[in-house]
Amino acid sequence: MNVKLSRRTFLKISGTATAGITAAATLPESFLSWAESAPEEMKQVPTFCELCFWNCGLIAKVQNGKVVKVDGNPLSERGRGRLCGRGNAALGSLYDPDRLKTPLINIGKRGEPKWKKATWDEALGVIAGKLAVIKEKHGPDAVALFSHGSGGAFWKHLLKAYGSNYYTAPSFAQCRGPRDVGFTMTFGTEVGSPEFYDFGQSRFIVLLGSHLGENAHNSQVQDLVHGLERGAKLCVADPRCSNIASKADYWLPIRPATDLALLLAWIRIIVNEDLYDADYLNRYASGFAELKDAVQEYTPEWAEKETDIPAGKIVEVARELAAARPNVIVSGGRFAAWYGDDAQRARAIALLNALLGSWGRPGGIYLPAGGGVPEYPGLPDYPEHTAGIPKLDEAYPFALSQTTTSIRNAAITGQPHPMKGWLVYGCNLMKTMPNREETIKAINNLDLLVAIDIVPADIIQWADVVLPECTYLERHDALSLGKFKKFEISIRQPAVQPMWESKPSWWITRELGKKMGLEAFFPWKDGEEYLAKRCEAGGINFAELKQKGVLTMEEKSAPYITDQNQPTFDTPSGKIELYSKQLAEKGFDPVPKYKKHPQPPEGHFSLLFGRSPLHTFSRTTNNFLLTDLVPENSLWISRKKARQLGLKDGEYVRLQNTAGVKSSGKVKIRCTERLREDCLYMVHGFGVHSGGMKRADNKGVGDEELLAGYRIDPIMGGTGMRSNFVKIVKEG
Amino acid sequence: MTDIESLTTFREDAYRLLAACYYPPTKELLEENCCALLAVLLDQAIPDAAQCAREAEQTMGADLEPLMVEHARLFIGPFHLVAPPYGSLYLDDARTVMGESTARVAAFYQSCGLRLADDFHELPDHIAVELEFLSYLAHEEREAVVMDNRDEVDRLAGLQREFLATYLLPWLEPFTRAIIDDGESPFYQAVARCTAAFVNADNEALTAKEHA
Repeated sequence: MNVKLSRRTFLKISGTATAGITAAATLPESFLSWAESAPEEMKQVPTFCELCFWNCGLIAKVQNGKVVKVDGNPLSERGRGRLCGRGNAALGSLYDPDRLKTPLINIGKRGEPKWKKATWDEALGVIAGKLAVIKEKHGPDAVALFSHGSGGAFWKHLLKAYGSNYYTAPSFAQCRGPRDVGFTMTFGTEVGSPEFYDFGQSRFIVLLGSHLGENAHNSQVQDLVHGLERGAKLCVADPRCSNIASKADYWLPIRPATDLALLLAWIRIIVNEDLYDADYLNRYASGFAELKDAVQEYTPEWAEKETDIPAGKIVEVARELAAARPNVIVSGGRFAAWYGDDAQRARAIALLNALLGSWGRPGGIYLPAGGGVPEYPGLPDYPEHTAGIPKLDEAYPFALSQTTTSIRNAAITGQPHPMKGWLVYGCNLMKTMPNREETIKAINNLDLLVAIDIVPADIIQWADVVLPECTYLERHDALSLGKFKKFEISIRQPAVQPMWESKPSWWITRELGKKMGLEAFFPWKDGEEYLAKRCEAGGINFAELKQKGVLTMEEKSAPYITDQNQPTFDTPSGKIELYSKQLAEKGFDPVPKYKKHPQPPEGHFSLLFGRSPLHTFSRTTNNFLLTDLVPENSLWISRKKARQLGLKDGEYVRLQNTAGVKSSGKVKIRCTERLREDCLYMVHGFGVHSGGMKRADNKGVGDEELLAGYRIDPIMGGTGMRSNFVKIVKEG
Repeated sequence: MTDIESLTTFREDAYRLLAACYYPPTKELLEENCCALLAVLLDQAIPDAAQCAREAEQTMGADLEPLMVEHARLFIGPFHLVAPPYGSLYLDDARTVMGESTARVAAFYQSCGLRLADDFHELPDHIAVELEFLSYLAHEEREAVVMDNRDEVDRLAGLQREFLATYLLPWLEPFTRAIIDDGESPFYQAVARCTAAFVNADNEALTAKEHA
């Protein structure tokens, strides 16, 4: 019989053999072809990591079209030839069977999706169509972008070309925003990301609510270890004896939410005992007298009652810290959105650094190298921001960026103006924002939710259209620019071709841009040409960058203050502001004032959370190389409390907050001597509820589920993510 | 298998038609009615497989959308991927795509002078590719029969037995069972039953021929 198959065969044989097998069928365009080939040599492709935001340089080893290993790139300032556990697990992300594979259109409901596989043309057509309608009805500002990760640069470009300025990232209001604002109020600039900490040269290091090391910030951990090797003293204030606390000279098991009391007591001791750097302050700072006045009530004895740390110990640490100035760093860590008034705590940390003269000094906070690379040349100007559109974050005068919560509020209330479309790039909003119910309410008011991701995270099930991005090993991206002691440029380039129908963001935004009539903003031929043109415009040797993966630029000015190298402070007064007039003018405390935070009610604990060195938020919870090591989080509880409550190691429990909300999953008890009795601790990122992430689904508990309410920092809009009080619920 | 059967395109066509059923459904799938062809092909040799193909033909329907939804649910995701269509997820301890067995399957293709095209966006051990590969070997075997090259015929039959035994049969049952048990569309359930019946029968025939 004669089998007719017009376009249904995907088999193609090159050359003359074709005739035989296709006698009965006409072949389609080559989909799968077969040809002779010899085994390939091992290829080495320099690129940089995306398992977390540190973006360490690495070299991917590729054989026969498969990435077989990744190794650190010795030229990278961020990793210096080393990778952390997550970086080494790159293949677990690339070859995860649960990856998003094709564009999908939700023909069911948000939250109860029914997926139809779509072509890129269809999916982008739907998005472009809806964006056009939203612009027509509500203006371009009714669309916002939530973004986290390297490809976000292209989405931001698309959003601005469309005419909206509402791009945001949970990494501001839900993470390091308060810290950045506290430092900016004081020094006129942020402390950087990666931070400008010169740990390797430090003589005294204070970590407050930071468990650096469990946060595997590669080069920073190396520097810290190097500093300790060279004899730096370390003080860690943390209710939990973290791994780094176990290596400290002083572990201060502080009562949760009282950190500001400790900081203000330290400031008072340093000020009253004349332990500060007077020359430095005379030269660079203003407001010392006001600061001194403002802290007089914070005696060590008072602080002992607040913090549970003996007054004698508080004094001892302050004196030893000051004796090591200026080669000291007081670090508030990175995740700083704790209680909803965190910018003032960050201010106090900045003030301590200022008093000890650490900004611009060896072993303190170095002056980073400047530098930049121009954007792609010849792009048109973005449309003028629509006149008269009210700022979403007017309420928070010192917000450095739009906050996620303001955008969510606008979607719920339509105030100060409508918010109808969300582009969500690499952000699992269900887990990164406090109060899931509000997020759902906001989403249900949208006309369009597009999710761009690699894995089907919780947020995917709320999307109308899902676009599969390829992993970092399969794509070009925008350049990674690093302000270290030297200026660093890293390139991302594909080690292998994208699997399935996944695509890089430079391609997705370009194709979407074309459909939106914005092709003039996307003139690049491909990812490589985009990067080559930018490098050419910046006088950077692109061939060398491609070959080495990382280029560092020698810096003319030194990383430390010298007579010839004077720091500048971008504050209103041009000085380090010990007293902040701009805060006073807006009705805030010009010098931080201690305010008591609630403590857990009877039978409840403060729920602390932190990072695992083997996971990045919920993003890696389905990575099989990492889940083999850490498949779920566990709940740390002091051994004594566990005994009192009859809890055993390894037993699974639920948590319930003061509003009666019970965790949707269960978490495993871990009894320990390393935690205060009034606290529980777990790693953030688990408690994923997404059937598509088979390894992660319903494993462990997410702290964010248990927020009974949250405060917003009136200074800058940061949300208090650490105010959970929970009790343990035993279940069969 | 008789010489006459060896000389027909029955085996290579059946494998290819089955493969076609596992690719994302398009308009052509509805128009070409490949399950009807499959039923006719299998009618004499493997009646129970033919019966399944007929059921598939009858349950395919005229509307593409339900097929696309079910195809995504079974084989693509993103939620509760019912029957991942990749061999390595069943064969390897690590249960990942591009696993060790995937590499061996690709090497097997390569040893037969074949490789995946650069613009092909699926994996070497996708069910459809493995079925197409068997179609290719069946075709080569028929050519050898025509040329009366007995050594080549034996070699190709051996390759098919080896590929089936090592790479396809070990996951054929759990894969098709997942579709049959947890599928929501009679079409894909029938395709799965047909696949299992045909491939198993073909394997038996190949084995019997070896011992004949």
